Amino acid sequence: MHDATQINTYPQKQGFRVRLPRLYGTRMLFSEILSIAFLAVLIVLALLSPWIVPFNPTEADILSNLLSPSLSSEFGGPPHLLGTDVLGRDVFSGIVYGTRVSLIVALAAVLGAGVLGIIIGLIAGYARGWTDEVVMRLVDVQLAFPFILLAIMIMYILGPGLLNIIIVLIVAKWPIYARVARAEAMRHASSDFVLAATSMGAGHGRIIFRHILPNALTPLIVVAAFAVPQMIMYEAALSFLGLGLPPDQISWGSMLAAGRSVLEQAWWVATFPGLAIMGTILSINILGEALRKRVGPSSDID
Amino acid sequence: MKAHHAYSLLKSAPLVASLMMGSVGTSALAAELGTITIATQLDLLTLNSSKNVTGWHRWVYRNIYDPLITLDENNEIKPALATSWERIADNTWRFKLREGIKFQNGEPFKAEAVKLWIDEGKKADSQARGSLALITEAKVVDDHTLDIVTDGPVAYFIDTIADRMSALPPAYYKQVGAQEFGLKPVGTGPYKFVSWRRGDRIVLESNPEYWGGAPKADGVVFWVVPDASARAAAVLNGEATLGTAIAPLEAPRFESSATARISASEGGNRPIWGGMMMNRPIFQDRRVREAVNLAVNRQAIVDRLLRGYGKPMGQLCATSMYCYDPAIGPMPYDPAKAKSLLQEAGVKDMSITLHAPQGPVAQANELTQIIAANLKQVGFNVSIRIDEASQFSAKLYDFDNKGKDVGDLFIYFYQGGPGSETTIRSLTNSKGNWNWQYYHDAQVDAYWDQAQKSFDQGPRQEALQKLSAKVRADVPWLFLYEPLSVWAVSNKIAWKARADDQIIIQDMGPAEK
Amino acid sequence: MSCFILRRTLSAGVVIFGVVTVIFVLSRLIGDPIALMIQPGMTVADIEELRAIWNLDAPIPEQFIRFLGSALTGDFGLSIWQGQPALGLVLESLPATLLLTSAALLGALLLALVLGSLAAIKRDSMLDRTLMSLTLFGQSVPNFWLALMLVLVVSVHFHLLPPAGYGTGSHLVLPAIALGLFPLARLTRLVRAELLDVLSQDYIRTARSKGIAPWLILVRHCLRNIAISLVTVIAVDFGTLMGGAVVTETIFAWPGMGRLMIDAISHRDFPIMQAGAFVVALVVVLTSLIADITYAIINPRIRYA
Repeated sequence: MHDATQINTYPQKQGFRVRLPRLYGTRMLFSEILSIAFLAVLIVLALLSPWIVPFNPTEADILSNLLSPSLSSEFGGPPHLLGTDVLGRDVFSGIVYGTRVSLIVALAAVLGAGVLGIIIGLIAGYARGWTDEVVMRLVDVQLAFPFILLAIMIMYILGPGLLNIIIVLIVAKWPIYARVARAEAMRHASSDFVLAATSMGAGHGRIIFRHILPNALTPLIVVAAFAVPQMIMYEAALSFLGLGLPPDQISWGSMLAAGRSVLEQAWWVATFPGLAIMGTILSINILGEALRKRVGPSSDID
Repeated sequence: MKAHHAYSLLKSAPLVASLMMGSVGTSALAAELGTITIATQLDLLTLNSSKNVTGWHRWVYRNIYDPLITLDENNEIKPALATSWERIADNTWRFKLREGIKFQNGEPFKAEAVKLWIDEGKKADSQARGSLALITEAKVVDDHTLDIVTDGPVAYFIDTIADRMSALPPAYYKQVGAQEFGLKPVGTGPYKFVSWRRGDRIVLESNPEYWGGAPKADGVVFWVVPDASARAAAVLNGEATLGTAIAPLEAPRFESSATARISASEGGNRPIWGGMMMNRPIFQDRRVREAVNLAVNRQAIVDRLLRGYGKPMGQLCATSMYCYDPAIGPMPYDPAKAKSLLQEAGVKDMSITLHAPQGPVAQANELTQIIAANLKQVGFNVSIRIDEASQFSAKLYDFDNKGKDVGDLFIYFYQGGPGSETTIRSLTNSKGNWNWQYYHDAQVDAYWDQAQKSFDQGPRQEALQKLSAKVRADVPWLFLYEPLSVWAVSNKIAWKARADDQIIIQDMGPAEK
Repeated sequence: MSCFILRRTLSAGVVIFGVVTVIFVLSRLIGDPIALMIQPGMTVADIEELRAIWNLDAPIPEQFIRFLGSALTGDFGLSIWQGQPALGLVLESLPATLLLTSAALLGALLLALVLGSLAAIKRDSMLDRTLMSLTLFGQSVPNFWLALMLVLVVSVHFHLLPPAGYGTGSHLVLPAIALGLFPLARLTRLVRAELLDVLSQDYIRTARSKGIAPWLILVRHCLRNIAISLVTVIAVDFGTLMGGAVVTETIFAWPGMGRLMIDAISHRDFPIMQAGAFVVALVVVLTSLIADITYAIINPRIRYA
């Protein structure tokens, strides 16, 4: 069979010999570099958004609505690079601001669900017995009811808001981390280094977080990498159902939802946020895949 | 274009043939209309006409049942199952009922059938109960005479039952029970119930023995398509004959279409208005309330967001309603005057919350943002809150805490049309159970009283006009606009949107050549 | 074996009880259905009477016990808005959802087997790389967005398939694609990965060295081996798909459970919410139960795990 380096490198054309950098000892693919670049641009945009947006993206200006993308301005002032939406809001500014919301929601939700799920999962997997049984049934309960219906109910109760979306996503996604963490804890609980630590009199907490967690981290990071795009997608779906943010805040999902009724008259309103969502998810998926190939638990290469 | 023409010629060939063969008349017409498929936004909750009288239920009921009293396309009262009626006492109306009519199962139509409808409608499990609250009882005088007693004199009583009240077949109803009847209804109407696949479609077929003459279509299908874009697409693609509640923003899709067009009503039956919480300090100053009104550019909202399918308002009632006063124009847009009014009132950088429900108010997200932008321009600090419909109404009804969770200015709708006086009364009367904004005005109460008790058109109209003028001067509402009803109509039929938003198959005809 | 099945069934029961309890609690937090029914002219007494019909005036623990009591006999009460038995309404809408989800999953599975095998056999070829990029892409499209685009392109512009509705096979195609693309992408990757794993095993090498055609090896030896992991993944995906169906059903006017549940939630129709939660949990739990048992039969070692 092939060896790993060969698989991960495109056959390079004559005369095109760019030396791509290495990640975990394996040369990176062009698509991976591109993904990193895309995400880097997004993060810079998100950080610098207050200084680079030409318009306030949440300020309605109904009299200049549905202007098509253009490099010149009709009324003076900065041009609407990607056009305006139904309310006359600048689509470019909206996408730049939406980057913030989408990334904050996704990262906060992944982090929150990760921390919660990992703690619960590690304890369950280490303690076994009753604790484990209860936790696993809780996980099953959560997974036996469609996320979107649960999310709708919780959003109805909490009302729209950034923090509330994050809470919903955490509630919905902790079981996956709990499952993986539990499996890892069970795998390592009987390993030599844990037994050694136990014999030296280490407490349970110390064993779980100092000995098991570091060893379980790699697969969990891979799970997290794939969870980020999922969170972005869920945020978009909730906004699409009208359950995301209050209308004076903006996200890619809400822009997409707002653009759908004018799809045929003003393609730009929904297309650009759609591309932003897909580009981001694709980039993160490519990088997640890259990570999994190199360090993943169920690598499909070796 | 030419191809389309040839296609329509080809299609009319059978009609030409049938005309030449001499089989002229309704049967040829029935063949021409064929099956009418109506794409609606919501499925029915029940097929029992006494349990729900909301508009989208009545679209279906109108075909299975007949109303006691109906409305014509201009919202004028017309007889149907009742041939005539008169007031025999201040609180009693006597109805003469049509004779010789049979229910679709053969049962004869008698006064007890109407009484049964009223009794069933007044039961606790009926969602029609609120609209029948005015009725204290129904009394059968003889087989074709019925008395209805109201709770005190109610001048607009006939308006409130028009196109709503109908009849249930007593023997069949007793045999199957209310629950089963809601699944397999029998009425006196032009179409018989065939099947109901919930969430998908209700199928009706023509009732050849209909007392009002042969029905125009072979069958009627009410097809539930919850998504507005999908409804538009279904009519554009020729899968539905008629599509309800088309989003105005999607209307341009029909401009270039050869298969379907848009038909809009003249007036709107679901006016959008803003309620200012009168129990809060900010809105106790009339000048502030007026400033809010002057700050909002209604015409721009109607032109841009509603694509012209709406009318700016300046009073309680919409154009199609009895209480509408044409002398009162729409509220002007005058941000400069709004600013000076606020200055006069000593209001600076006032923070207010704008609150709206998602769903009941179409395009609530967009609308609130435009209003907020308008209000910001005259110096308010506005924050927006959107709630899901039921959360929103729970906050409105929190009378125990004086609606503390409702925003300072909330956007809502009311169901207009004939009979909507009850609704507006509930909204603005001091004792009204929909007076969520705590608007208390003795004079307004007095005008309502007068209007309810005046059976003569003159004094009644006068009371309502005074009321409208008073409320306009008081500006407890942010007057907004009445959205028109926008329908998608297949070019296979001739049809025009009615003032009462009803769909009546008998109004339809084959496409004009 | 029977002990294993018994234990799994027992925990399945616990899970269903858990779901129903959670939904009961959430439904009581979500708001009062009666507030939506108040009309002008109704008195306080009328409103109290309405509450009493559905037991909403009783203390919450009492409501819960009464609900459990009747639910055990299969009675989930009458729908608040529709006046018909809630469980009946849910079961009426179940076939449409099952049809949609199984069509999406089955289509995805069959296609994934073909594409995944192709990718694995032609490993590192242009075809493999293209397919793998496409699968990443397929996992990056939000399903509601895909649904809208399908309607716009396939129905509105090219008039190839109906934009919405239920009944014939042609109505099924678009919603099934919208729902099935994500699992298709996922399963294709899985099939490829599993096949690569199996292809590197000794017995396959032996078979290859004997000169047996690769396609024959694939069908005879490999597909049977990857069936186990496919069954597990599909069982998990089935639950996810029932969730995804909620949005798809709305866009395509598909008369399924997802829409019924969304309507019930927005109307606060508690009996339908509870009956729906019960049925969904039952379907999901049964699917994974069957998967587990199948798994245990195929691979006896699992019983002791």
